[in-house]
Amino acid sequence: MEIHVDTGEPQVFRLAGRFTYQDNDGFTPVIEAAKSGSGRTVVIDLERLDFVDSFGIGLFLLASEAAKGQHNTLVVRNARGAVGRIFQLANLDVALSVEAAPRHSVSESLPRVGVRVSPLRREADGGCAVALSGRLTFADHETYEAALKEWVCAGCKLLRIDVSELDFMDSAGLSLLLLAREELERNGCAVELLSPRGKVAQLFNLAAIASVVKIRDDA
Amino acid sequence: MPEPAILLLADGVRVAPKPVHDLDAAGAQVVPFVEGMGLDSAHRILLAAGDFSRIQLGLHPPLSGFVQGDGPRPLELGRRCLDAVRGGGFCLSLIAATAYECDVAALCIRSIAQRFAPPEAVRDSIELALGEAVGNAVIHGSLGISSDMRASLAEYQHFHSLLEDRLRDPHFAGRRVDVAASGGGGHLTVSVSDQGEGFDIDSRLARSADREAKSGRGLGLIRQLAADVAGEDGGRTLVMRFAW
Repeated sequence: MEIHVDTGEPQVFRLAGRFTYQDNDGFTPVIEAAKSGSGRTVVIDLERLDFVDSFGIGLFLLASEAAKGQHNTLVVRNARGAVGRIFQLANLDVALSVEAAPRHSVSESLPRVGVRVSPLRREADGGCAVALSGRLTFADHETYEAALKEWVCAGCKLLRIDVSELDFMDSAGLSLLLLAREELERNGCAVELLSPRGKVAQLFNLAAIASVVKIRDDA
Repeated sequence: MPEPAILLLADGVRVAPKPVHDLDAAGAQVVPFVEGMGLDSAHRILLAAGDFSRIQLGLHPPLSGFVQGDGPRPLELGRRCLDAVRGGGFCLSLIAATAYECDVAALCIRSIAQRFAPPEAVRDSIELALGEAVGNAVIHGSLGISSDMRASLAEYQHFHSLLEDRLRDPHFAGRRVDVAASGGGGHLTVSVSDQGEGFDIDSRLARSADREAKSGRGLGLIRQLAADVAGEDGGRTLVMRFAW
């Protein structure tokens, strides 16, 4: 792995290549930066990082802890492909402050993007809101199931699921949404889907899903 | 001896003598991959371990496809793959575990856009249809999981644990899922094949899905998205045609 440092505020570390157990020493400057000073922001940019193993994940968490101890903020941005996937699977998007990668056209969205689920937000009118982004398909069961359990336990009366940043969905993904609606309604929570776009809107139309779930377009 | 029409460039994988013999009989020769090799007269398919960067390399010109060569079962390459490549298209052959891990529809639509340049609206329909077909081939075909297991959260959790088991079981996870695409002049034929038990696609195509159904929608959607769709090989292959 290579690390390039942009000095200035905030300090940005750009990681490139493969981050594995062999890169312990290479990551030391990031940990040092995370625990120096106080009230600072340190950014780790992963745009050019192709791979991270569990050892690398451990070092991200170590840097995060070091930053918290000094009241610094560690921001991880542009995790993509296999790296983004591993961050999701390890629930690192919760443990670390992870900024979503910018949206990409099909040509750049490889390898697997999968679905990203935002944390549940409570809104002023008493409802709750979450946002899905990326691609929701048959291979996203794990991420989605964990999110669904959280939604059911949140005890909301209304859950708005914003799908405007979702680029692609297949019918298995649609089934997951319907499953959420059913489980939530059984628990006294109504569900609304917000602002489907592009291929997701096309799928909703083809499957005539508007007759089953309330869809709102706020745009 | 005439020049073989198709070369499989073996990059770091070994192929047993019988598959090599079978491929040879089908007009495809296995040769070692050498960086920068000048073989422009032949169609070339990359044969390598299932790694994202190798898959992407194989899917784009000048190469004509990618075949995963590190599966737990002996290599088999379907006739459709070779026919699509001979016809100027491409093929992708992955074991089910790899097809589950990488987004096959997203991988293939890039190659389709580059080779056949469908207009954006058609491209979106192809991607949606391909996503459905690959999902069916992986889950219900090669991994052999029944399609009516997701009606409630409890059933869904059972479905999920079965899925995890099958992805770890080489008998299922090593079965192949193949995508082959060829066409030109405003037409595209895409086939998706699996090595599952097969099923009666025609009766499924004739059935209309319940709007609240949590499974069994895929084929109905494909029927709406493609100009034509048909099942072959006892339900192990779905052939979709698109036009623009």
